Amino acid sequence: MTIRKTIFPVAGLGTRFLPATKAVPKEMLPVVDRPLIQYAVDEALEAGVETMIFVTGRNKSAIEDHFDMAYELERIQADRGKSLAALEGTRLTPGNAIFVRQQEPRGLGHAIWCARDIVGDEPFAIILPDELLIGRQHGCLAQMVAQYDKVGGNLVCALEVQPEETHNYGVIDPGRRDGVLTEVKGLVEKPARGSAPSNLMLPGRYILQPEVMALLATQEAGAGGEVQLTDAMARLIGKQPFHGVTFDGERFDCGSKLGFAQANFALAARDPAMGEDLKAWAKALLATERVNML
Amino acid sequence: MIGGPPILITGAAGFIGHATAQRLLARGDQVIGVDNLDDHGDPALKAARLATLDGHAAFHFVKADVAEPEGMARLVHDHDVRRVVHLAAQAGVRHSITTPFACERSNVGGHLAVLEACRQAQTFEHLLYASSSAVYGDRPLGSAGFREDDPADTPVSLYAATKRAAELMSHSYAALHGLPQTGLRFFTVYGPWGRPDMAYFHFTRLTLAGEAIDIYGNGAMTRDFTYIDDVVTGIVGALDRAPARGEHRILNIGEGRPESLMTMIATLEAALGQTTRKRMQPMQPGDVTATWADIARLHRLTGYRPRVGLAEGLQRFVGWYRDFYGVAA
Ligand SMILES: NC(=O)c1ccc[n+]([C@@H]2O[C@H](COP(=O)([O-])OP(=O)(O)OC[C@H]3O[C@@H](n4cnc5c(N)ncnc54)[C@H](O)[C@@H]3O)[C@@H](O)[C@H]2O)c1
Repeated sequence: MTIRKTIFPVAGLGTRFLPATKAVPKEMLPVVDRPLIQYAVDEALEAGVETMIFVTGRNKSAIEDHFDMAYELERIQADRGKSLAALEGTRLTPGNAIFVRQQEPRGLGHAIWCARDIVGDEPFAIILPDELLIGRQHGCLAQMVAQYDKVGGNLVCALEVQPEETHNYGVIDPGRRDGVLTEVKGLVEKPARGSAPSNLMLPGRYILQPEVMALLATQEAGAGGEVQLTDAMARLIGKQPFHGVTFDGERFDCGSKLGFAQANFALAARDPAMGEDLKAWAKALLATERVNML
Repeated sequence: MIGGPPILITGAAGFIGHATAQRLLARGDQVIGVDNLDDHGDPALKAARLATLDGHAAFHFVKADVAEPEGMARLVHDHDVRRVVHLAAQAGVRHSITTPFACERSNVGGHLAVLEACRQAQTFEHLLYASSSAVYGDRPLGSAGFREDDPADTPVSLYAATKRAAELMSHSYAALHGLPQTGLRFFTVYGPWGRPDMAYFHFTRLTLAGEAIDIYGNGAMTRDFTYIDDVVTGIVGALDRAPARGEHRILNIGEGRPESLMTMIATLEAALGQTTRKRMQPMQPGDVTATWADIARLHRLTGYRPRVGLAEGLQRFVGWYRDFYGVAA
């Protein structure tokens, strides 16, 4: 069955980016000229997804507006004879953007569970917009869907990281490997240094079977008093096919200020209109002044 | 003409050229100063150096490019120049990396134009030109100073290569045309009116501004620092003892004493009465680890003995710096 629906959990408060996120949802912070959430939606669109399900919280209405028609703006631009090209891709097909609120912050698993009735009895994808994944040729979710068409079941995106960084992440306990596919035997949250079963971390992209919703419903709160998605996924392992798909591309952790700044720089440096200027400027900025020793 | 035919100094707006012009003028020589006043280095400082010479009736400045052969030949011919102190160059390793063709043009093309101009002169006595300790390449400090006969065929910067090329061209002009010449290999010259791109000058500016300094080679570099007045004494001493026809001699001119970079910085900080944060950096490309001049040859020829040590020299530099840039102690 094809993947028609994607859940975007966007209820988080974004406190790491205060005061920027006091009135603006952190998913609306721009990387170069697009808000983070739009990179996520574009990624889903590229993968053939039709229905975008946003699990929101209070203060997130800007996201709704972003994917709506901007009547006034479009009118004024049109009257001035200006192009609307920049707004392309921001308006979703009517009925295809669905918003549901997670009333209380009870973890990622709980956020996904909030979308259970909209997802219904079909497989679905999850994209965490904080994780900005720039695929080398195709977007991350498109890469995963291509594998899903072969093996079905449950898939998590797997990103290779330096072995000395694995203790920061959830990591795959790997079984058989076949190209970009790795059989998942287990999931280990933040393994102690030197004990990680692999260097494949989970950067926030999932394709899951609807059974996970039932598991989430009965799931006890786990680490941090929150309902953990990882715990529910772990319970599917062994019962349904479960694979990791090694991602071919770059990851920017836009949940951290450093990653966010890196994403902005990296993508701006690639921008045909300003990339070269930016790089020249950065080079001059970073050059330590050299001296003559003779 | 009073004082006989003029001495032509190229690079007269530069650090060593300016100091040499002052000394020669002070003792009554006629001096023609040439410089293209290019915008490498610090144009304002070049103008200020020239301003101190302009009042002299015996000083005549010509803005010209030494790499223009006709212009140089005409200058030498028209003024009956018999002695040339050729210091114009794109000095320093850094520029030679970023602007290699300009470096080649001034340092090799310019040198050849000067050689030609001198060769064509009716009566010519002496071409003294600037070479550099850089020609010794990257060699360990060892237990004795570098001697003029030591190998100098492994330059690690284009700058060093151009300086060595100039020496070799000079050698050929002595052999071919008998042109009497002295090549002076300068070892890290410092002092008042110095070059802002040099480490001691740069560090002074940053320290007074409260900014951190980058220490290259992690501080593990050694230099033979030579005070400007001693250099000028050496230049004038060698200039006055013209070589025979066909003779080309190469002479080191240093203090004859290697100091570590860290000692130089500590001495500078003492002179400034102020310290600053230091960031250790790897070696810059093109730099050599150590220099140390054996100065016996120059001593035998001229009686040269350096008089100003590093502490005294940096003290004088800092005094000049504070005065010139209006930075109170
Ligand atoms: N200062 C040192 O520590 C040191 C060490 C070794 C060798 N040297 C050599 O001594 C000489 C003088 O050095 P400095 O420290 O006074 O440097 P400087 O840069 O202060 O002086 C060189 C002068 O030459 C002029 N010049 C450059 N290219 C020219 C051109 N094509 N035509 C006319 N003028 C030109 C510049 O405008 C400058 O005023 C140079 O040949 C340099 O390579 C200096």
